[in-house]
Amino acid sequence: MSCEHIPSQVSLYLYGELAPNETEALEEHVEACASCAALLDEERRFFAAMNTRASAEVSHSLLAECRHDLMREVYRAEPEPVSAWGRLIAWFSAGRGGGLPWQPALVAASLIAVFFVGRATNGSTPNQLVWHEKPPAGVTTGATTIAFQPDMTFSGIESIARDPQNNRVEIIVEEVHRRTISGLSSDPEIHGLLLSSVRSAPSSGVRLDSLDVLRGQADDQEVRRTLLGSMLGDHNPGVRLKALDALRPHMADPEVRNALVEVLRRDSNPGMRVYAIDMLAEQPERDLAGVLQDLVETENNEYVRLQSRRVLQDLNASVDRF
Amino acid sequence: METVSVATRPRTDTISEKALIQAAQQQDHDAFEHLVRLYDRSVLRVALNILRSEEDARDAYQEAFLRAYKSLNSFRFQCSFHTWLYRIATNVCLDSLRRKSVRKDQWASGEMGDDGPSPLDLASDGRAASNPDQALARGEMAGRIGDALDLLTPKERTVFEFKHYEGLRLRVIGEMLSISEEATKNCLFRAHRKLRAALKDVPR
Repeated sequence: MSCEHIPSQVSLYLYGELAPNETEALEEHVEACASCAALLDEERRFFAAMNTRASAEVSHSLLAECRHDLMREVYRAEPEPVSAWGRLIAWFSAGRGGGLPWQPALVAASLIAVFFVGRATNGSTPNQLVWHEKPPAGVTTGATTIAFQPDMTFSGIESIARDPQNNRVEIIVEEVHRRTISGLSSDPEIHGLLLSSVRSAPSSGVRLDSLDVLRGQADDQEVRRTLLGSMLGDHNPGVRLKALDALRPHMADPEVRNALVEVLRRDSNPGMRVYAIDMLAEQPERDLAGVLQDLVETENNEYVRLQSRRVLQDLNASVDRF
Repeated sequence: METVSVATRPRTDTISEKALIQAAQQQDHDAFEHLVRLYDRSVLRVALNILRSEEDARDAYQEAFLRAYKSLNSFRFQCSFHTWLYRIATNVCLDSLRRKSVRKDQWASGEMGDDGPSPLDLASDGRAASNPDQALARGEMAGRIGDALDLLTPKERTVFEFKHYEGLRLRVIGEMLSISEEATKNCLFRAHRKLRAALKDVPR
């Protein structure tokens, strides 16, 4: 290696990016060449100077906020309801009708058959299927023909029957009707729906939105109990975190404190455990040191252990039990 | 396909990354969240280093992981998940830097109308170069380095951050930026040259 190559190689050398033979050649050259040795020293000082600007520290709170915001968006991005076609096929794909592997294809084919028969016999437009609505129990007025609407929502398909004489197919579906209810969150019906939604809505995004509305109402005992249940029992950590956060102003309530200790002991999510530590540490009670000492012994997550130790030190308590 | 219900598993580290990815590809949000937690600290740190604004870094974090989430099914295990995710995050950061650059150029050339950002907006973008308090807090030297880093192009800046502060291999950085290792090396060399020129009077 000659002097002219050194300037372009020296930083790569310090970064460990040279091949072994190049490294060896550079080291040999620098040992024998004072000016290139000075260049290497200069580059080392440049590296040292650049290192005085430390890499950005990621604070726990910033990271937690980012995670929270992200997962909120992720849960919001749950697949949008699919079209009636998609729902019908997905319903069968889930194996409700016997679970045969070829069944979705068969169903799709059957529905397509309905489509063509519908067109041929009723003169419907190509975008319309013709349905015979099952009459309500006790009503004998016969089936009503309704136009297929792409945004119809079905909770299930009860039966499919084909008339071999004319090749028509009859499908009995259970329809879901949507309804919009609006009002103040304090209105009994809205309030009840929000509580019910937090407890049992299948969509995590809906549960999060419900918690958002209810978070300022935790003075109400039923709301607080629902938040506690959500914090301890929801399968989604984002929802649990939101419930935990909503309980922050109520740390004086022994039930809330006890629930936070439960979170520390058995929540599977380390972020939840860290948040619980932070909240308990904001208004430390006498039993907190013991709880944290237990945690230091049993906790698997290094960061949670670290936080426990930090709080114990703040409390002037021993990290270990004696 | 192997699927995992993360909600019922005992600990994250007992589950392979591949299984987590496959579960996330099957809409398992818990699996996705665990993947996020494996890498998000370093993604956020890189975003903070490159963008040097907490607000921009938060936006980049959000955008990068949402892009990753939406295109998870396109991940075919042909490279490491880490590289794939960092490539997305890097692109988001580069886009952000370029937008900032355009915005500043437009302001400098007077193209911004009355609806454009005010000088105060530009001054409060969180960069050390424009925030004397931060520069003071981080020390004179760190402030000078921050100013010098601002002289680099977005790509040079990104390569330098990944190499110098994250310690990534040039080959990996090249993969993330979709450029060759040689081009990455040249980019790093140019970054070094500019930085050394900008910092030549700084005592070491």
